Amino acid sequence: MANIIVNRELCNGCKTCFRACFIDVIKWDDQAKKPVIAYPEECVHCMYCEINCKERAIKVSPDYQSYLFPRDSIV
Amino acid sequence: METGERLATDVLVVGGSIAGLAAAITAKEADPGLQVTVVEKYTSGYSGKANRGAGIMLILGEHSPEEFAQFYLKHIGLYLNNQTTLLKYASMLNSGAEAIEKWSGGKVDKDETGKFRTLKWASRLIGHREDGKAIFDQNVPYPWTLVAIELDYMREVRKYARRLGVKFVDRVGVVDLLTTEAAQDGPRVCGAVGFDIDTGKQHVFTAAAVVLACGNQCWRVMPMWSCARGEGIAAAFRAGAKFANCEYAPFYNWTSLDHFESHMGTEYALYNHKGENVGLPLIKEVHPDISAEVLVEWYKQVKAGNGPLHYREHENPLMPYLTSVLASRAVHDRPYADRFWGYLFFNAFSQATNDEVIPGLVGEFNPLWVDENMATSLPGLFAAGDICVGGSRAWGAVAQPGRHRGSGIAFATFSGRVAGPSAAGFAKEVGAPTEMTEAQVGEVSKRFQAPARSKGLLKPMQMVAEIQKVMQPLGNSLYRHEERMRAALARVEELKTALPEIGAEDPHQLFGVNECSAMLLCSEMFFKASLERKETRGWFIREDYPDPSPEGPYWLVVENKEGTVAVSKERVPLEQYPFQR
Ligand SMILES: Cc1cc2nc3c(=O)[nH]c(=O)nc-3n(C[C@H](O)[C@H](O)[C@H](O)COP(=O)(O)OP(=O)(O)OC[C@H]3O[C@@H](n4cnc5c(N)ncnc54)[C@H](O)[C@@H]3O)c2cc1C
Ligand code: SF4
Ligand code: SF4
Repeated sequence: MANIIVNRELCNGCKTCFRACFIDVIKWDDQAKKPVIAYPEECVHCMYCEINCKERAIKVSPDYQSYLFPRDSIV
Repeated sequence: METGERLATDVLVVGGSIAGLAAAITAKEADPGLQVTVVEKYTSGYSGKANRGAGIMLILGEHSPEEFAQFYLKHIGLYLNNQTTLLKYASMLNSGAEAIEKWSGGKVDKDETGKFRTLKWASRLIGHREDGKAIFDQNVPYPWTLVAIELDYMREVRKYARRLGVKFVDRVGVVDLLTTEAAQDGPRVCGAVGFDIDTGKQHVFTAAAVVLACGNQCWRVMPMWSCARGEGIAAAFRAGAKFANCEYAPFYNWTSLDHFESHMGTEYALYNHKGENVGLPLIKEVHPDISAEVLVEWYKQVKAGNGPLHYREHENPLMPYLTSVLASRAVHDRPYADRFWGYLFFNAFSQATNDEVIPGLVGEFNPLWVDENMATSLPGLFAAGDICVGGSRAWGAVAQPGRHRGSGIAFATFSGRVAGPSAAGFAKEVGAPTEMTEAQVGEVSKRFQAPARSKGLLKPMQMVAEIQKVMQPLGNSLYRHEERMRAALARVEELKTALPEIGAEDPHQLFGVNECSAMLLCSEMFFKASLERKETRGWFIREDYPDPSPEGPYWLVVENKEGTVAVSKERVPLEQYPFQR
C-alpha cells in the first residue's frame, strides 16, 4: 500500500491536496482542518497531492508490489 | 427519503476536465444568457486524465485537413471512419491549440518570438544500420505536429470558465440521467441525478440540455488512467442511448510488473527469451505509432514458450526523443510538467529490477455514439471527449489514442467546442423541461443506495480485482477468439450476479459499487460487439478470423433493448464521403 504521510505541524489546512486527488484517496477533516488519508490502498501514486502542496507537508511513497494488478492474468 | 439539493440550469455539463470545460466555455460564449453548470465528481481543475497526461497536443501545422484525413484513412482508420467528423476534427485542430492557449492564459509552450514551439512525431522507419539499429527520418512527412502544454493549465481553464459565469458543483458524481417522454419524438434527456462523494447527499439537476464529458472506461488497470470508470457510459446506456465501435477498444501500453509505468517505443527493442528481436520485423515503413501486431507477437511468443519478453531500452531509438518531451527542458520549457514526469519516471524506473515487459491494459473504451455535431441519439443529450471518441467514428479502425499521439486533448477540445454550441442551441430552442421526474429520481436513489443496505461481505475493490482478471489478458481483449470471448463473457455474467453481494459503508464505496456495475456493463458491451465482428481489421484482431471480411466496411452498433445489450450492423456510407478506397 502506498505510504502517504502528512506532517501536521507544517500543514496549514489549505485543502489543496484534498482537491488535487483525482480518485478520492484523500478526504477532509472539517474539524481538524487537515487531510485524512482515507483510501491509501487505492492510491495510484500520481504525486499530485505532493507536487501541489506549497508547504511540502504531504509525501507519497509508492508501493508497486501491492498495486492492484491482475499479475496472473496477463496472457 | 431526504430530497437533497435541486438545481435547474439551461446546460448541464457532466465532468469538469478538458472536454467538459471546453463545452461549458463555448456553450456560455455561444449564448451568455444561458445558465451553464459543470458537475464534477472530484474537483474540476485538478481532476481527470487531462491533468495527468503528457500535455502533448496534436495540431495540423501547415498541412491541410484533407492531407491529414487521407493519410489517416489509408494508414490508420482504414476507411471505417465517419469522414465528415474526421474532416471537421482536422479542420479544428489548429484553432483548438489556440483556444487552450487563450483559456489557460498562455500555457502552450512558445519560442522567443511567441510562436508555438512544435515537434514532429518521429517514428518513420527509413532503414537499418549495419549493427541492426533502426534509422529514423526526423522530418517525417506525417501531416501533423505537436505542441506542449504546461500541465497546470486546467486550473487556469477553470478560472476562465468561472469568469465567464459558468457555475461549478464539485464533489458530486452523476450516476444517472433523467429523461422525459413529453417531447413528441420520444424520450428527451432533461437532467441528471448525482450524489455528493463525501456526504452522500443527493443532487438533482434539471436541464434543457446535458453534455456528457465524464471520460471513458479503463477498468482501473493502468495507474494514471484510474479515474476513467465508465459511469457516464452506463448512465447513457440506461437512458437508451446508442453506441458504436465498442469492439475497437482497448489500447495496451508496454509496461513492467515492477512499476506499471509505460514504455513507449518498445516494439523497436522487444526481445524474446532466446535473444531474438521480435518487434522490429513487424514494423512497416509507415508506422504511425504503437503496433497491435507487435502486441499480438508478444502473445504468440509467450504461448510458444519463448517468454518472458524483454525490452532493451538502450536500443529504443525513440528514447532521447521521449525524455526530451516528457521530463527535461531540452525541447520544451514546462517546469511543472517536468516535475510531474520527473517524479513518475524516477519513482517507477528506480524500482525496476529487470527488463521484462508486458502489455498493460489501458482500456479507452469510449463508444457513446455522436454525430458530427456531438449530438447523441437521445434528444437533449450531447457528448464530448474520451466518452465518445470511438462512438464518433472519426478515427476508424483503431483504438484510442488512434496511433497519433496528442490526440486525446485534441479530440476533447474539438468535441467540447462542438458540443458546447450544439447544446446551447438546443437549450435555447427547446427550453426547460416541464415534466416532473420524481419517480425516476426515487428509482435512481434506490439503485445507487442499495449497497448500503446489502448484508454482502464483498468489497468494491475485490470486485474490481475480479473484473480486471477478465479484461487484462491480451488473449481476451486484443488477440480475440470466439472461445476465449465466450468464456470471458460467461465470467462477466457471473460477476454481474454477484453485484448485490457488494456492501458499501460510505459514499466512496457506494460509488465503488456504481463503478463496478459500469465496468461490468462495459465489459459485456465490449465482448458482445467483439463476437459479432468476424474479421480482422486494423486494431481489431481475431485469431479465428485473421483476414478482413469481403463485405464492405461496417460499424457495429450497440443498443439497450429492454435492458439487454443488442448488437447490429450499420454499413459505412462510403459513397457519401469525399475519399474512396
Ligand atoms: C498518463 C496519460 C498520458 C496522456 N498523455 C496525453 C498526451 O500527451 N496528449 C493527449 O492529447 N492526450 C493524452 N492523454 C489522454 C488525455 O488526457 C485524455 O484524452 C483527455 O484528458 C480526455 O479529456 P476528457 O475531459 O474527455 O476526460 P477526462 O480528462 O478523463 O475527464 C473526465 C472528467 O469527468 C469526471 N467524472 C468521472 N465520472 C464522473 C461522474 N460520474 N460525474 C461527474 N464527473 C465525473 C472525472 O473526474 C474527470 O474530471 C493521456 C492520458 C493519460 C492518462
Ligand atoms: S496541501 Fe499541504 S498544506 Fe494544504 S492541506 Fe494538504 S498537506 Fe496541508
Ligand atoms: S498520489 Fe495521486 S492518487 Fe495518490 S493520494 Fe496523491 S493525488 Fe491521490
